[in-house]
Amino acid sequence: MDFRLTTTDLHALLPLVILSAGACLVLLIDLFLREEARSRVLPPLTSLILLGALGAGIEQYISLSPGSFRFPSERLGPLLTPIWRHQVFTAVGAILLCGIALAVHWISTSWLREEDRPAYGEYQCLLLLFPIGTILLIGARNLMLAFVGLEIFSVALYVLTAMRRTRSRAVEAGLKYFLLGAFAAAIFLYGSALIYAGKGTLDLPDLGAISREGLPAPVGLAALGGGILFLALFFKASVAPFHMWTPDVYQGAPTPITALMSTGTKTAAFFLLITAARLFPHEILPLIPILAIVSILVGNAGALRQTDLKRLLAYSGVAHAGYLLVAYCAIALGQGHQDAHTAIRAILYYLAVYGITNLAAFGVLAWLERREESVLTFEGIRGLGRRNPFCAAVLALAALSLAGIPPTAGFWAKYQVFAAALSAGQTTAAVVGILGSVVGLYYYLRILVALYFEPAPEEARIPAAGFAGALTLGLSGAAILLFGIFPSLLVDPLIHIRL
Amino acid sequence: MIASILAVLPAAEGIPNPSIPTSWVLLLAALLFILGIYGFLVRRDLIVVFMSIELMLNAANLTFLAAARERMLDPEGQVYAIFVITVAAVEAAVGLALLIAWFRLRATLDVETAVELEG
Amino acid sequence: MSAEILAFLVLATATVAGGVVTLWSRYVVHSAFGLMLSLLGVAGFYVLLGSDFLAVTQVVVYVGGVVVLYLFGVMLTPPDREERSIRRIAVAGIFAVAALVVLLKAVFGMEGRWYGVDPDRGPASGGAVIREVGNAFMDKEAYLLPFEIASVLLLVALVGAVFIARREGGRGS
Repeated sequence: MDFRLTTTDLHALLPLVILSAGACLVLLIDLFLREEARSRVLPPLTSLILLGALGAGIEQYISLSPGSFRFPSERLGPLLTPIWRHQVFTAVGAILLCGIALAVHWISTSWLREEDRPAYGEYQCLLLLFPIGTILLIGARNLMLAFVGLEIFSVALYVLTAMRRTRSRAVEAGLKYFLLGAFAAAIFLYGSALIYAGKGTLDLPDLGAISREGLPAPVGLAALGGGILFLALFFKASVAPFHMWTPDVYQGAPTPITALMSTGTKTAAFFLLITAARLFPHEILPLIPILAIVSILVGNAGALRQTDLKRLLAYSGVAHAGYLLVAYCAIALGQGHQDAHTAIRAILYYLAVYGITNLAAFGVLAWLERREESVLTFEGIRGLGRRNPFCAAVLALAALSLAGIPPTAGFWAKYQVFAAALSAGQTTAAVVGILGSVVGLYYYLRILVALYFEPAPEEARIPAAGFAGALTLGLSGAAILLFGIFPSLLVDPLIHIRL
Repeated sequence: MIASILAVLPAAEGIPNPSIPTSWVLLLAALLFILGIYGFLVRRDLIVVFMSIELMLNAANLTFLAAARERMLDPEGQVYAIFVITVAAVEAAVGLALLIAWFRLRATLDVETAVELEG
Repeated sequence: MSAEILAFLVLATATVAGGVVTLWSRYVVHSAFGLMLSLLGVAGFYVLLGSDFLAVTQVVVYVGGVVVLYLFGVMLTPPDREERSIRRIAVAGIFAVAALVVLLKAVFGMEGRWYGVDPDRGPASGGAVIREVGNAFMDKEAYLLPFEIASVLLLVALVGAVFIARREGGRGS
């Protein structure tokens, strides 16, 4: 038994350490600052902390990749290994989540300044705590640790959703999200309890081993628990029919928080779905393609009817969860490791691209959103191509990428997902996915039409965006194009991913 | 059904109160969990909905501890139960904060009035 | 009927009856006391299952903390006379019965197959287990990381709850 954390342990947890120390620092400094000084000191400090965590993630990625000379992975030793995956998988997750949090922070700086009573300290503290929860969910080798992570980022999101606490829409969205989220959390816990009752452990590797070695695949309590657990995860990933909360909460939450929710939560949930794939009860494995198909249908059908852009993106998020599940079929139902690893890489690629694209889309919406609670509809973006070419270009690129049209990154993401499913023999799901993407073209192209081919309304005024917001939009727009033209830039770094 | 319940063997020797079968406790936990789900689905009063969630969390805890006893008082089950209690406290705090914010704006606790966002 | 079985039956009645009162009562205060009864029943079960420490924690944190928090919530808000919707009750009832059947099947499908029983682990006593639990929390190969991270969770809740529940114009004015 060892009670002391060594420097190597801390190295394995470096992004978490930086983020949690940073969150406390932000809270403390916030206490001693005047109202005016807050807006000057805290945002750069938060950027610095997030950049530090991002750097730590990248450093871990480099040191963990095979062939690196600086920190051979053997030297890190089996210190925290029973509970923490110190692997490329986790490092990639940490990089993604810190990147998302950083982008959301940059998008929100100018937005926050426009608020009645900007709450810099609390907002930024919670923004720094969010990636901690998601990284824990990704790196956890134990379901209880994963649950604590899930709870950290969920609670942070409930609060951030309701942060405009004098506006009843925001509080309503926060309350709805909290009620359904707490319900899902209780279901997750009961599922884990049943797994523990059946198997006597919550360590994910052990659970996998038990279902592999001669012993019967999860039966009885453990199988039931696994099924219940997956319900909760599907809820977090907003897979239909567990998506009811998505449109309302996306619409009611402040736009930058919606961006965080749609990218961060989905990424984390799918990472855990990948790690926990073996817990899925075998009797209902055929349900996964069905869920994928239902999500694609429900998401696309819902998106067709929307005039509110945030609700549209919420439904499109449901459809994208469906596309991701198509690749997930290959992990759950495919034959052997080859299929599984191809599918995992496809999912991670998709998540990265979807994250960048959604950040771009919501970034533009956050920019356009006025201080008043404006409704972001097709009306609002009419003729944006002439009023603000930069915004319009980024939104157009994002829409093209979400639709999966070359030469954007979204095309390669979809291609890989469907290719992985087809090579694993999941033809039906892949075909429905491809058909769904074709239907999706309609509403994504409607965005393009509104942007460029419709006249602008008279009194349209575009609020000024800060430098950081513009930089984020520019970077994400550039990334969509860059990864679309040179997909290997994003494929190659994922080559070392192992389950 | 009754016969199958009575046919269950008592729990293993060497653990506290072995004459109480573990499956009885698991069954009671299941009942509590389902009561919680029922309350969550049926009741509209927010506080009662929160209480239903607490019932569900307690069902999880009871399952953890019953399973831990079956394994000679495995400490892991108790560790998990402590985490669940922590989470329950966290959710109660945040939930009531949201409830107070909501009540300031609306002066009602009826969930059905949460319809401002077009559904 | 042995004393343990009798205790089981009494506690089971208290737990379920408390739960039913929580769900069924028209008055939120009654619900809160029903919840308290149910939680005390669960604490009794913990004693019966040999987890004395958890029983004490349950009473201190839940009954002493969470239920009192709910009672404050009840006092801060006026009574709400809700109407019962028969359709909703019927749908939820069918769902609950179906879920109960599935769970029953799973529980009795175990037939004594408890995986993960450590064969070397001898008869256990409550006192020794508390030491093991404490060590597990402080052992970095066991639950040191989740234990430390739980403090982050509490920080989130603390900051979040104060942020949301604070009156407008709170800070500095």
